[in-house]
Amino acid sequence: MIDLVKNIQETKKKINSLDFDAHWYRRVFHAFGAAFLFYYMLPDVNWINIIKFWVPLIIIIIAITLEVLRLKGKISGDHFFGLRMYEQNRIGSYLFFAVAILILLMFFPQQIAIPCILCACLADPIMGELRYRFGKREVYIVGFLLCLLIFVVTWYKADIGLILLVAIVGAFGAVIGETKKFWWLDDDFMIQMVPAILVIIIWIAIPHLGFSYPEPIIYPGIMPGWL
Amino acid sequence: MNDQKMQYVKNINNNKKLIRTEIILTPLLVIAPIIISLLLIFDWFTRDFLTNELDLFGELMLGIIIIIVNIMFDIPFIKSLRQLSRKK
Repeated sequence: MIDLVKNIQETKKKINSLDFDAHWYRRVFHAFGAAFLFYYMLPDVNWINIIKFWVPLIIIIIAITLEVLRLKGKISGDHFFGLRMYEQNRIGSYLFFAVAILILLMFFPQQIAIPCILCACLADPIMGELRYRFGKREVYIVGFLLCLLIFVVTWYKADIGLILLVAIVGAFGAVIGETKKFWWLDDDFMIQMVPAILVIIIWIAIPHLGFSYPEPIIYPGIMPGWL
Repeated sequence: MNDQKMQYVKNINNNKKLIRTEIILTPLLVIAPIIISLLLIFDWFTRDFLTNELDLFGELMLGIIIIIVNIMFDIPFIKSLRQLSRKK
């Protein structure tokens, strides 16, 4: 029994003496965002559609509430891991990131939402990592190529001319969104919304350009028989 | 934005609480995207490769891209967790 208490005390001491780096945590948090594509895999059934509408909305409402309470000082900022100094007195980037994903999932066709979400989840942390090793110019070129690849992969069912147009415009928008940092609007929001707005303009113009709309990338799953 | 503003909020008083949050969220952050990418690949395998029911090559590509990038970041993240250095 004494040994057990000693062990617990030692473990507590170890935990308290740990130091950590929030750097990789933020990178993994970004990459985790890709898991939200599960939204499109859910079967197209009435009650699941209700869940698809309410669950993301409730998550965002909870996040906004927490953030408001943090900014008002009702909740200690100590509970928010990985915040940067500039986020101490403004809305955290994670909320911008989540709100942009919610807007894309709810109001944009998946052909636009998927590449824009992936630009923020995959290309953004890679660009961030490259920034430590290379100059700005190289980072933007690699970022542009990465976003271009993401758009090409997600629009592969479209006509070749449309793929090129969307990929170039979308990748350009994503890089512009990533480079523009404002105090009141985070780049995690911009990297998703700038390409989405640019591509939705092309989307509206598709019939006038003589192209046809591409098919969806992810198809809803099939409802298991036992449900 | 200057380097100081890009620093993480971190002090001796919040260290314990922060690391607890990090450890609690780790399984979700690491496992969820990998499961989703495997589901995308599985969906392609069952509904496209085996039955040719739909063209799901896009799902396969997305699954591969998501899994590669996630593993790329998961490895250093888990390493950093394992190699937590002691405070001076």
